[in-house]
Amino acid sequence: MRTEIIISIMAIAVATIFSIAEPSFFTYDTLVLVAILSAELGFIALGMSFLIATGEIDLSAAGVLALSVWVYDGFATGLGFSLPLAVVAVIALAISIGFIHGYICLRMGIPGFIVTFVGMIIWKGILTAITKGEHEGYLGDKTTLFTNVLQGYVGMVPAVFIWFIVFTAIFTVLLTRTRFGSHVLAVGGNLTVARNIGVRIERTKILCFILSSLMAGVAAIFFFNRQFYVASDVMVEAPLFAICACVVGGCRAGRANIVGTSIGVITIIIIQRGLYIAGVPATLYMAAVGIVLLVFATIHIKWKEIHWVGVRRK
Amino acid sequence: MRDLLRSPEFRIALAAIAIFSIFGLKSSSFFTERIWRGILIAAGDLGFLILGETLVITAGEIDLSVASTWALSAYVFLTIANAGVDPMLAMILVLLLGFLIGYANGFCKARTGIPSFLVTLATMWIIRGVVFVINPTSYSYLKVETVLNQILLGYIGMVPAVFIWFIALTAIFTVLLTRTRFGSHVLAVGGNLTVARNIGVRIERTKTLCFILSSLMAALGGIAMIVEYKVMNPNSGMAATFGAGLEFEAIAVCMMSGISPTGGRASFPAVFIATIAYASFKSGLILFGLPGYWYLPFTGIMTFILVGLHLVGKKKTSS
Repeated sequence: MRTEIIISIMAIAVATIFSIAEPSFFTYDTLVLVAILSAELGFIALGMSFLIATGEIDLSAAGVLALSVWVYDGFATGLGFSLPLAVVAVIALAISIGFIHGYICLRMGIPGFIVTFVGMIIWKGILTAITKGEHEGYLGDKTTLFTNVLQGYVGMVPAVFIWFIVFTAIFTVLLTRTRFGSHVLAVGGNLTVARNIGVRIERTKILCFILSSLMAGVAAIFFFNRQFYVASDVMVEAPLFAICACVVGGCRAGRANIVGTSIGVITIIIIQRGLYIAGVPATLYMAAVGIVLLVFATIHIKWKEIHWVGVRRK
Repeated sequence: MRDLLRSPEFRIALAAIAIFSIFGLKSSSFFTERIWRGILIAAGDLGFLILGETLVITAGEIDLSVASTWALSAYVFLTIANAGVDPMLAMILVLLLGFLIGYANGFCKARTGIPSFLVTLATMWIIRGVVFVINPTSYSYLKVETVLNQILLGYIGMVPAVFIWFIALTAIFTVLLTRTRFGSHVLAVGGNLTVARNIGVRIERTKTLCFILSSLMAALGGIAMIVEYKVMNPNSGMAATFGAGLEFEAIAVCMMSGISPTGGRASFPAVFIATIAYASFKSGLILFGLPGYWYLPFTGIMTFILVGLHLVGKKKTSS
């Protein structure tokens, strides 16, 4: 629980500072927006946490998300599918993209971040070529039951945030209670040992690539049901921020912390929105996120060697 | 013969010739002086980042901060040279800045044990932030004529001077990697860390030196860029975002050269050819008359083909 407590304290501290400095931060509207944005980035970060635990990285999430949004809109508007039915197409697309990334990475031996970076260029590039860089709005019914289930409100809480909590729970169970979760940690922790105890390394890693793309697809479904437009430049910073959230949350090769990752996402979004409200430009909040990343990575790795108030920890 | 077919230099040269032939057959204007001048200048400009990046990858690390360092160096050089500081002194100061950034990267990596991907990701953002803070407005010219103009601009015969520098630097790095003790240490550290430690290589020192050289090359590249183009943003966008994304391009070109992604094996001549192949592909694409929106996916697919080229006929390395 240690990691989660540190990050929670950090998140609350940051939120408090922003609330004092900018009274408009601590309002219902802002907090709802923080919850919604956290959830959308959170889906991507949850998928990423498994991949980081196996020692790979996925930079393609924004491309996969944009392409998924386009396919979703294409099936819903162009082919006349209902919104819930079109989800199937998005999931199929995301799974195939993840499989392509994983297969190329493992069968050809190209490092994962190169494969997914080039993948990002290609998926995003294809979409830019199709949409000619313009935004396209969705013309169908925007008030269906399905949209309400995804993006409505339960009391005062946005439904998407509840979905985020549900997914966090699912991923926690997947990591700590299933064989697949143990395999993921074994592959990232010690490859030789994992191989010797019979873990199928390639299969595990490819499954993690698929999971990562799949969660980008899930984020795309939620994104589309909120924003209802298609564009090639949506959430471009998502993959790097998701990696940051995972690292802040305590994930690294051979280790994953799902709850920590979720709180890490919220922290990063609080920093982003807080600085945005304070009028700080995007380049600077990325610098702020960079500093947070370095500090937390150091704390996680060096925790046992840091002397806290003169007391030597084990 | 078998060795030749397997050598990365031969394979990438073959790919380069293929690219030249396709563009040459498609468009008669590809083999003209104007196009090639552009290609060689683009290769020379990008080359600074790529050479440094190659060294870092050879040592088994990665440096994402090069493009930010590049932009920061360009801006700092522009500012202090415009303020009346002697250009050579300005250059030395900027190189010192590059040294410090590289040292900071290496220090963070060595002292905290955070993977270099994350350390340099963070410094990439932080340096970008610094560029933004010191340059909130976008447009400023380099007003002074410097000695560097004569060194970097102009042509020797038909070859742009910046490309001659790229050749010279490639030669220096080749010698550094293959003929010096430092080069052997870099290869050892990237190849097998345990063995390197056992034979007494000072690992963290070697890696930090690689980071420093990479940042120094990025700083040099930034100075060269600002002297050549005189202005921070020759195309568009804010100075603060200038060159964003170049770090990934540099890494991709390194991969095209057949470098070992985990370190321990690299060839600077192959990197040199890969840079020209990549620059000519990007320039040649315009001649194809494709709509501009298609450049990005084609560049991506091309990158995959060139990276995959080195894997043909090789035994699969177990992950």
